[in-house]
Amino acid sequence: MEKKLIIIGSGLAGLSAAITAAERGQKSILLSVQPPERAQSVLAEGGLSGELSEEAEALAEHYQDTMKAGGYLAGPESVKELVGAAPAVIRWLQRLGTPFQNDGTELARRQMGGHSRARTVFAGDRTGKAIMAALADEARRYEAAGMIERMSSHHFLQLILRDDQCRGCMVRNWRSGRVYQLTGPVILACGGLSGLFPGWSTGSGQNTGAAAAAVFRQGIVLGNLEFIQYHPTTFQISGKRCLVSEAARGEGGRLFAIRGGARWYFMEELYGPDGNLAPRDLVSRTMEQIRRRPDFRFGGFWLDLTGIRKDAWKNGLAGLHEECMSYLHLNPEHEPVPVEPGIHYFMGGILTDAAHRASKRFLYAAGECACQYHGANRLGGNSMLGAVWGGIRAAETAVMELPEFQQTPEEIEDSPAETAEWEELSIRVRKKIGEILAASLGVIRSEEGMEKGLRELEEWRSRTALSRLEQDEVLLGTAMLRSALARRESRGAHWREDCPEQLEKFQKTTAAFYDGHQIQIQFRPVPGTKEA
Amino acid sequence: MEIQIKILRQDRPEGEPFWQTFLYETEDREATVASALEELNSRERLTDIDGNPARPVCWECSCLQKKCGACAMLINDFPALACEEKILGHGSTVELKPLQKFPVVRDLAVDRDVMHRNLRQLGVWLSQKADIGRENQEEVFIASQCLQCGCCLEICTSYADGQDFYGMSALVPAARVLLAQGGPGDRRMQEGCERHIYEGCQGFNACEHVCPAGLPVTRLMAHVMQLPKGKLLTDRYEHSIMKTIYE
Repeated sequence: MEKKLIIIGSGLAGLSAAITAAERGQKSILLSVQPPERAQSVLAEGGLSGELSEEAEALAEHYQDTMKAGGYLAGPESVKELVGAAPAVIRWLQRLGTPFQNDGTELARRQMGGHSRARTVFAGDRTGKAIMAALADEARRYEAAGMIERMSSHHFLQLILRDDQCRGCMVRNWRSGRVYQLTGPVILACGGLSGLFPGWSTGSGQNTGAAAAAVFRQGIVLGNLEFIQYHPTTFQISGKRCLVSEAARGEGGRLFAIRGGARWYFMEELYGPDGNLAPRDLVSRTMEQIRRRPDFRFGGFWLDLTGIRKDAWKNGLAGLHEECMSYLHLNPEHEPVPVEPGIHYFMGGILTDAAHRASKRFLYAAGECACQYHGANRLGGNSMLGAVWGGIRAAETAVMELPEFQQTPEEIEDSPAETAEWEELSIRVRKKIGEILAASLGVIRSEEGMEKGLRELEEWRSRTALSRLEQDEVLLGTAMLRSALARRESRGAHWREDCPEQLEKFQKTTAAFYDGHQIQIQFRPVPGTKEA
Repeated sequence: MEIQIKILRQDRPEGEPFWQTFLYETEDREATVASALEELNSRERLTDIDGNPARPVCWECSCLQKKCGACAMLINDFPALACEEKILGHGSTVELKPLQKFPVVRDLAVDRDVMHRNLRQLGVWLSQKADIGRENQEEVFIASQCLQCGCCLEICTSYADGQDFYGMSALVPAARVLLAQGGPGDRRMQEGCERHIYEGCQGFNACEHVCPAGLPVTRLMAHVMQLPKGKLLTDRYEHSIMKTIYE
């Protein structure tokens, strides 16, 4: 029987993977809970970072910026590949019809935080949606040619593991309730863990983290789970945090707090004229430190966007303008926008090597669910680059290794699985887990706070009847807390008031896995370094 | 304020629809229909207005900020996104129904796969590499923003499932491809659009009125209709990522 790749998730990484496999003549199944239009990738705003030419010096700068912002925890080989591929990725997306803004001769680029120069291409402030539309159309072309089989109403349940190999996965069609198994190498492109923090994050609630939680319970190694990016500028809307794109500061937005009744442009005062565009971890941490200062009454944080030019609003920030008007009922051209840090991105996830292989044979991961490119803190625009390139790279590896995937006769049928009860994840349970995790894994952390979080989680778990999926989520949440407790230093997005120094001995990847009885946390050499 | 939320429910695709009413209390003027549904589903024991136990309400949801189209439904008989509609804007009773032009899966969740099948039928993809002129840049951007939520089909008097008319959820993505391709256009798609979109549209523009993304569908349609007829393009692809890298 014909072998197929199984791709879980149809966001930027999943679509890129499916298209790449098809380009190489390999069929795949593209499985997702909802169709690509509903993927979290459509929310990505500011742009995709990458140089436009292969000029070595420019690539080296992008590499340096990425490594530095990531606290040198990203894999150097992977990041070299990533930034080196960026010019080709951008050209490819252009050829697929992504309407990146340009002046007729050259692509426009905007400045994002932590980048030493403006290198982020964009389509207004809806870049993710514009790229997704292009990729979805391209995937449709291959679907019509029989190269991609789209299954867009399915939940991933768990992997099928045998002899230390991934043999496929169990899935459930949420419309019919049918549970069955698929055989083939699996690329996980299932997105970040924002659903573990419902209400606290800017992401999609659809990214429940259930897939990552299930594979974690099955023993797959996850990395750097303690590194959670708090975006400095978000505001609360009904049911979630709404992002104010970093592009707004790239175009001249200025953060201020109220001190003694007057505006205090703290990032400029503390870090110089470019302070507003410091990396996200630093900005969010500074805000949190200011909030805790005993010497003045805290009066909230604000983003002053009144200096942004008319044409920049029209061409680059129209979406933000609309959101301020409809959610906050204020015109950001004239009034400051109230902002607070909010959970935005997960640097950690399924630990992979530079070729996107996870810890079992024939299992790969790409996009936000993978831990690879961003180390301790991600730079603006690197997520979309990482997702698209990650999907491409993972599919390439999987296609290359596919001849070694031997299907046994009993695996050939996509047989209905045992009719195990796979209940839905209840929103009530997710909210409770999120409440505990958000309280203990904030911008500034402490041993005391995290130990308290662990105790609360354990105590609540022991007196609550939980489904299998819900137990998996608790296990993953526990692993996050344990990873954060084990890293007794401060680096990137992981800042501990009880261990404020960055220590060389922790320039390592935090590897977390479940051995069937308990969670193990190890510090391993960063992939691609001399030690590794 | 106490609000009665009346929901038209259905257990299975072939099941009988039935009404169930729930009480919801809020003073928050920003609370949306989506947050109300989430609150109902967060209750330890969900009961209806008469105190009868009820199972959680099935509805589709992803971004909660009008960017993904998942939560489209009929809110007081008007197609809209649950994450956009403020619940206090509807008086003391809000009626929620699944979109009626699509088969019901369960409760407020419907099967909207037909929109994708129609795009596939029309061949909505690039047949050659894109060439977006500066004059079309903004229009391609706008046409890339379609949520595929189905509100335009729900309100449309010409659209019925399984019929020849595909509606504006097909027009907008097709316009993206036709305009991104540059030149006179791809004859295959142009003829498909003529048959399945232009000919059936009665021009009431209700679709534009309900579009949650605020897309100017009438203008997009006028724009692509006036493109000169192009050649039948054979699928000759020259822009694979690997070629892009090694070129």
